[in-house]
Amino acid sequence: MQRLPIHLLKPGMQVAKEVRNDNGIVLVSENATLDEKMISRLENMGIRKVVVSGCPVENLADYQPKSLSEKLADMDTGFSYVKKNALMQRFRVLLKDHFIRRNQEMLGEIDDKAGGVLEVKDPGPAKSAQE
Amino acid sequence: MLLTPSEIRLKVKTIKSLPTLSGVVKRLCIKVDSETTSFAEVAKIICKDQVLAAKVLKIVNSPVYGFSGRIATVNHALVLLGFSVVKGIVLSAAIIEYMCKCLVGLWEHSLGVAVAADRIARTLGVKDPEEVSTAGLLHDLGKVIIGVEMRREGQWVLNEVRNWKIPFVEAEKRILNGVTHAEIGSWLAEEWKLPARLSEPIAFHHNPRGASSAKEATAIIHLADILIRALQFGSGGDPYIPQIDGFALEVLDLKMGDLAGLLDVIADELEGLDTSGFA
Repeated sequence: MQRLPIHLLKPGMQVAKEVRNDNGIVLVSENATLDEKMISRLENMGIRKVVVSGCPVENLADYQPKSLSEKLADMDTGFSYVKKNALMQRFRVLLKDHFIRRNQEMLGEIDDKAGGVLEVKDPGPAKSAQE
Repeated sequence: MLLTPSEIRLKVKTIKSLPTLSGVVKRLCIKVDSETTSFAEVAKIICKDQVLAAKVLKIVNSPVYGFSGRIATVNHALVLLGFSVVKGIVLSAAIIEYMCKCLVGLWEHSLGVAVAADRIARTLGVKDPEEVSTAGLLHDLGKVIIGVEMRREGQWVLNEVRNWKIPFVEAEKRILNGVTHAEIGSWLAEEWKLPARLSEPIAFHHNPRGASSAKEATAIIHLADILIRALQFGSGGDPYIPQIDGFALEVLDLKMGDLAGLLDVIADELEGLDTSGFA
């Protein structure tokens, strides 16, 4: 599955997770095949992302402004001034997990059947060791 | 020679370098009494400056407020949001172009904090989330005042950040005799007679324990500011993530684990957020 921004949707793509609006009303059901009209309607309704089956967009990472390693390096810089207390240590772990998970979703590395996440792929050690 | 706090306060009182904050806008915020003036009359005052009115509507129709329909008139915005919130939006609209000139990324950061504040407020079921998100738009107002009214000092602050690798707020304390953008913004909010729910988050977003009547709104802006910086959206003037004050989490009855969900919700919103076309 891949979570695609609306502007990358193309007719023929199959919806993997039903699309709901803010009121919880289903706009497109699971397994529906998208056509021009549906994509246009979703855009007009302010929908920003749709989860589709398979991996129709190769190099989805190219459409993202910062790579995961850049984000994690900037995150290290971000934490470099604050004191290393328990609260911020926990927040750091949480934030790192958030970036890695979003990156995996983007690259389609989400297990279609289980709906869970495949093994965590750490892009490697960040520039400066903090701990 | 460093400016004294009283000199800084005087500069805020007599702002010269922000032309959009004089004239129509000044009349609106200082002279209009919301008790005796109708929305229609207030709308008329705002619409005298068509460029400003257009910016106000652009902000009102943005994901910050999440209205499903389009709000076509300032009068309608007043009816939906009330005088205080619209006053806050007018102030925000008046300084957008200066925000973009003073600090690259500051407008994006402010818009991000507004959206994050809205989502946090709604998740927590907080009353009048629009007031909280408007506080998000305005929370770094003081940085713009420093950038336009105290340009020399503003440049020194940026130099300190770069040379000493310290946060913007620490650099401000060094250059401005202990005064920071939080105080400066709150002084302007006072000039503009903004209510506590807008002015306290401006004053205390770095020190949420200082709030009195708007502890909840302040805690939300404190958290929203940190989450937006953590998500690397826009720029507050330095690359550092501030310390989360456990007090803010207590006030909002949030645990650290709850932040994971909030990060997801906010990141989703940021992905579709178009920050251009406001200035």
